[in-house]
Amino acid sequence: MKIEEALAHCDIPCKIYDPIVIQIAALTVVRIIDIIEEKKLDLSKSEDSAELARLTLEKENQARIVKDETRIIWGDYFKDPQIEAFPDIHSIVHSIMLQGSKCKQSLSRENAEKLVSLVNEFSEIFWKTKDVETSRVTAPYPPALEMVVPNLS
Amino acid sequence: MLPSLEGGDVVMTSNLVEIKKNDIVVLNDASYGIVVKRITTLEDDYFKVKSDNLKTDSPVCAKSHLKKNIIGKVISVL
Repeated sequence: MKIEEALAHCDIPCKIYDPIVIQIAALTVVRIIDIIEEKKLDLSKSEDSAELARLTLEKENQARIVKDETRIIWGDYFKDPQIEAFPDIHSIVHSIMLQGSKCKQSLSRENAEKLVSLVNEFSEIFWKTKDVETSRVTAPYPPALEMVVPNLS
Repeated sequence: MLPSLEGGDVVMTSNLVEIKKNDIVVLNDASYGIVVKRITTLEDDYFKVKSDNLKTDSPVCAKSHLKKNIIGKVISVL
């Protein structure tokens, strides 16, 4: 008798989901806004104009990374059990999308800090789904804002 | 499908019994072949499945399947 093989077809996804990428990108948005402020660029000088263009481009890029990587974790990692346990995840993700866009459109540090705050909320929920406790610590690099880290033994 | 099924388990299926939500079924997926999963939603012609092992992911769970692709309900794990 031939017995057919049935796979559970549990993907072999990389399974490497970690919101740290999002957190660093969000902090970088704040950092770039700070740098633009600190440099007091003189736009009558072409070199300063080029510098502002470069910084703005990178701010856009980091805000995009926040949005892209959040969508990936939300879309690929969060499943019914996690969503049922944390039903606010949809509104938090949506808020990150909106806030990420605001950061692309402006040089407001307040907007960027709000983005970091939302990303921290998202990170805490992510680690809770894995039963990993977290701490809020001050980032050991500029802009030295609060960030969520997993308490890994 | 842990903890319900482990790799290497032999299951007996039947296509003569009524299929209900939460049943474990063996289905034939066009992309992934013969797959064993648990039914989460059941419509007239379609159904969706999930893994019991919530720590894993599977694209099979992300789409609807035609009911005609059910090979049978798992009625026994040998």
